[in-house]
Amino acid sequence: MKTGRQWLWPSSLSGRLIATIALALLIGQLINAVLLVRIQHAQAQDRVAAEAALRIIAATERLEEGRPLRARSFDRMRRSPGVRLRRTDLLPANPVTAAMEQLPAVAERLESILPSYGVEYRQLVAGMTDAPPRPRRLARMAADIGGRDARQVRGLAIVAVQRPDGQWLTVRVPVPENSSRIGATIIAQTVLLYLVMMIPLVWLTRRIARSMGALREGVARFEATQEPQPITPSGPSDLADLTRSFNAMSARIATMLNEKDVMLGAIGHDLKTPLAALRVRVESVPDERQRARMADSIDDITHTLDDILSLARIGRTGEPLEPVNLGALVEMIAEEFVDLGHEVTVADAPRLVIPLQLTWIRRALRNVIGNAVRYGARARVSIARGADSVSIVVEDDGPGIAAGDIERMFEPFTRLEPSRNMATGGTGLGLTLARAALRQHGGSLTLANRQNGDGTMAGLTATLTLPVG
Amino acid sequence: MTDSAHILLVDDEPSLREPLAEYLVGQGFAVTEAGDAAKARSLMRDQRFSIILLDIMMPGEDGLSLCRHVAAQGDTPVILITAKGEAMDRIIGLEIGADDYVVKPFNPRELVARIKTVLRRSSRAPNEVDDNIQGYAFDGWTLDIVKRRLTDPDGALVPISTAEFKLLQVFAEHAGHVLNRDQLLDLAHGREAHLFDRAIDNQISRLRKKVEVDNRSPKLLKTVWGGGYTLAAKVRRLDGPDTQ
Repeated sequence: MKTGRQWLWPSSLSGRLIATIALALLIGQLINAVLLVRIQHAQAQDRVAAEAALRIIAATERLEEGRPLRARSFDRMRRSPGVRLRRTDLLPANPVTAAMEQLPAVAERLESILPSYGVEYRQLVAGMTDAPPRPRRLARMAADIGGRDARQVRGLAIVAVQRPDGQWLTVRVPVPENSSRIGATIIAQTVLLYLVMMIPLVWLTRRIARSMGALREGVARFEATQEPQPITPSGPSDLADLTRSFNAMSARIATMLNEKDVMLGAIGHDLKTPLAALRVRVESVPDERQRARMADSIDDITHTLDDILSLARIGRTGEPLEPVNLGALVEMIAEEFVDLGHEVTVADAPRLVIPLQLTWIRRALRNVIGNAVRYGARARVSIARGADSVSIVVEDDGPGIAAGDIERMFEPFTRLEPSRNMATGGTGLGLTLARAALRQHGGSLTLANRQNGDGTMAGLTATLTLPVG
Repeated sequence: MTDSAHILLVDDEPSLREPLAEYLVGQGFAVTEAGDAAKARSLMRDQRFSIILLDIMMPGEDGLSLCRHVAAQGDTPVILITAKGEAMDRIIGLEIGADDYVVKPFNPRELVARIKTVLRRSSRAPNEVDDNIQGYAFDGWTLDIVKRRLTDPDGALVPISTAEFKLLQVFAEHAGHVLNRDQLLDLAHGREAHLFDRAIDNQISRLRKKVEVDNRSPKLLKTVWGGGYTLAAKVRRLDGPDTQ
């Protein structure tokens, strides 16, 4: 029953722990990456703004001193404002069109820088040129901003300042590319973090899982055997404490179960001895009818007592499983009923050997077949072999059971016809015991009404199923 | 025989012991009562009893221990009185060598019948060497006298009724002999049995259904023309380890 979701999301504790931490780490690294990219972006804009500011200040100085914007020839060789002014122009119109990508962050930075250097202007705009420069120029521009190759230049920013005389002082500044190394750095960092965290984490969770596995097996073993077998506490202290608590609890439960067995044995003994005394004294009653009735009453009490004690002890008898010829068992029980004058037929009794607790399955069969002859006049028994189970089917010709009452039949002390039952001496525990015995073997007991072709009740079918192999 | 039988009744509960003693006396037995194992031991030192009825659950030394003591002492038969049912057949004989048992609350008439059966058995074979017999094996089958069960050649238990078991035991004990219905009735059920002889035929046919491959042409339990039945197989005795 594994759905896709369960497949994606591990079910074990260690799996979940590792997956959760891995996921949290990944999210943390993503946030880290976003922050880094943003910082880098801001730095790039700072650089663009600083470069533009330098040139604008230099150009403004020249213009105010009446010198030309660019000194020709040899100026170019020196790394002087002349070089920086290479891409500086004085234009009559605003070169930054609305179609360009605007750089408001750069403009904002410049607006805070320029006035403090005495640069006067009417307005200031910044944008990216929409026609990217050729690769060779890009490489040169990259060299200008200290990079090694063209890939580190994203493009050219145009910053234009409208001077008080209406002309546009325009500078072009290369915009550095966001470094791709950031991605690689983040990935390398994440991998390293994973290694550093996951290796001890896997080791730790496996240790925890091992301790928990031992505990789980101990619980299952106790469930199966009801014998306390202390588990050696291991793992972290909480788990070790849990293991110790479990050991204490299983020991207490085992003690209680043993006490229960002792108590039931004592009850059985203490009630049966006076019953035996009564049964002996009954023999001295002269009236034969009275004597028979009294003996019957004692038998009823004894049966009820035995059934109650059995029900309380089921699963605790320690009776071993033995290979039993089921066909012969069914036939023997059928013959017992035949000897008592009941009509019981066995349709098909193949030789089928199953490991059983003989006394319990014999009891279950006696109870079910006994019910069939008591309420259903006769019993037809057949054995059907299934793929991995065998079913003993007991059919009677009785009145059946109202559909709503079928499940109730398995509850202790349920009798559907109290008046009739009292006379026949049912304890109301027969089916409860039978079902408990079959369940003890991993089998089941079901009851179902059978109908004739015309819809009238044909009788009740009881099916006792036992696993095979 | 039963008129002279002297019963030692050992039970710690006077409420049961007293009426039971009274009843048994009424049935023609001589009865001596003992309230605990120590009293029983001292009584046994002084006199000899035909049979001992022994309650298992007693304070002090319990019935099982006393039963072992009796078995070690000699051949006085023991019938155990127990409050437990179910797995009792295993305890009987296996560990302690009791001859029979009844479960409380027992029908006193049944108890008397069992006492008589046990007495008859012990008087008929006072010192037979068969004490140590554990069972019989024939043609792959095992009849375990101690645990009272039949196992087929593949080792699977074949549940059979007590009557069928006794019948099979009789056949095994008299392997090779032809037994007629009267002999079978007498040997398997005792003289007081109220069975009519056709019941034997019925039981034979049921037994055949369980042990024969084809019960229309039986190979094990053969009908001898005009005479009766016989177990036509080589029977091997299974002896237990020597006790005491």
